[in-house]
Amino acid sequence: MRRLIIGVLLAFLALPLLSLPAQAAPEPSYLGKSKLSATFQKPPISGTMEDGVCNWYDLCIWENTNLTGRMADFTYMDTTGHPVWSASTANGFIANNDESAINAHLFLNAYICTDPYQAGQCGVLIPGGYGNTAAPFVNNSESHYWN
Amino acid sequence: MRPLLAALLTAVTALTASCAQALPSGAPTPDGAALRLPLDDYQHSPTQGLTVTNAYRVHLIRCARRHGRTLPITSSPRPLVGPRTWMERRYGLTDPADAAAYGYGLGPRDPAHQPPESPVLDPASIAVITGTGDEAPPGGCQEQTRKALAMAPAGADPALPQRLSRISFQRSRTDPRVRAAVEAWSDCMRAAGHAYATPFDPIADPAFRDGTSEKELATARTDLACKKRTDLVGVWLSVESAYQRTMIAQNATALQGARRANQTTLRLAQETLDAEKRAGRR
Repeated sequence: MRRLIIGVLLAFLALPLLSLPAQAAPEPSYLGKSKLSATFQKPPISGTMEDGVCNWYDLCIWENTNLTGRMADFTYMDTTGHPVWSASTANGFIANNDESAINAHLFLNAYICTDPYQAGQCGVLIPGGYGNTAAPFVNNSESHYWN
Repeated sequence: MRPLLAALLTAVTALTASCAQALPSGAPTPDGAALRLPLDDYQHSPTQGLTVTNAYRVHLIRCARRHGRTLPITSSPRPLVGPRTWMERRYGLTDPADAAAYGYGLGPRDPAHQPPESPVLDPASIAVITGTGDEAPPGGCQEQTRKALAMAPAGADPALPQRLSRISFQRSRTDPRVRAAVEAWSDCMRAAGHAYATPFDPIADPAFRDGTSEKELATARTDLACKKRTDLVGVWLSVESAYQRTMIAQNATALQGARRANQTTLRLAQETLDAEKRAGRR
């Protein structure tokens, strides 16, 4: 009887452990890059708006890692185009298709969110901050705002 | 053998308590900005982030001035734009007061209402800031400013809490308990005549902006009522909190370092703004 009680109690103890969330090891993310890395080459900074070049007032997002592939340059001047990336004529392709980014704005934070209109999980990218979004959570951003 | 039995019973009791904490307790879930997740203790809130940004601008302006450049921006603190906390819109609309006043919008905190600053910045100033010119300090004023606010300390990763928070959000979003609650919320909305699959869909509805129509306000009211009826926010908060508690246990040392680093940056930023304010009074 005693063995049975101990067995039941041990089984009860083990059961919740099986339903614990999977291990969440720290993973690199462009939302987490806070200092410059030799791994990345910053793109040149030019002075024209939404021209396919990463300007100093742009949030630039690439469809591949390491700032490669097609780039979306959301300018700070286009304040109404930020809340729904998919609705942007020039940059709509990047919605849920982002793997790396740089906040090229020189003195504003960019807040990047998983859902339109500042909803879901939002993370901050400091001025000049850049890097990759790591698997399995790449291609999951849909909007951003400045502050 | 009795001590062993007693120890096991104690362990079972403790475990039962911790499980109960991770599941909806029936206690009322706080609204909107009052919601908190465990990792919020380790990172800057949006308000604190704004303090850092405002101090960043002060240092950037000072640094550029030391190198002969006057930046076309003001050191006056900027107002907060966007959600007041990381939780306000994490699970969709959650704040009854905002919902009554602005529907699905953010009212005066809507980023689209903020006039952009002039983008006129001459190449010499850009060079000084980015460190690409001959007259620029090492790393540019950008790097000098980060150092002044200890934003990239050696041996600590201030952005770790944010990174883990992104992971916990994505994991909780696909958790069967959250998916069931979202489905229940969607059914509740449908029964009231609103077809939305997730709580993010009405926020993104192009028909809704800043409570400008009775339809938007009525939908927002129904949205919150359905969240309350299905305990969507309580379930999601509980599930994500459990994920975050596990992450905190697995990354305890690194997270303590991140918290200390973020506290230091916030203190330096506040000191910067205080000094700037005092200098402005003279």
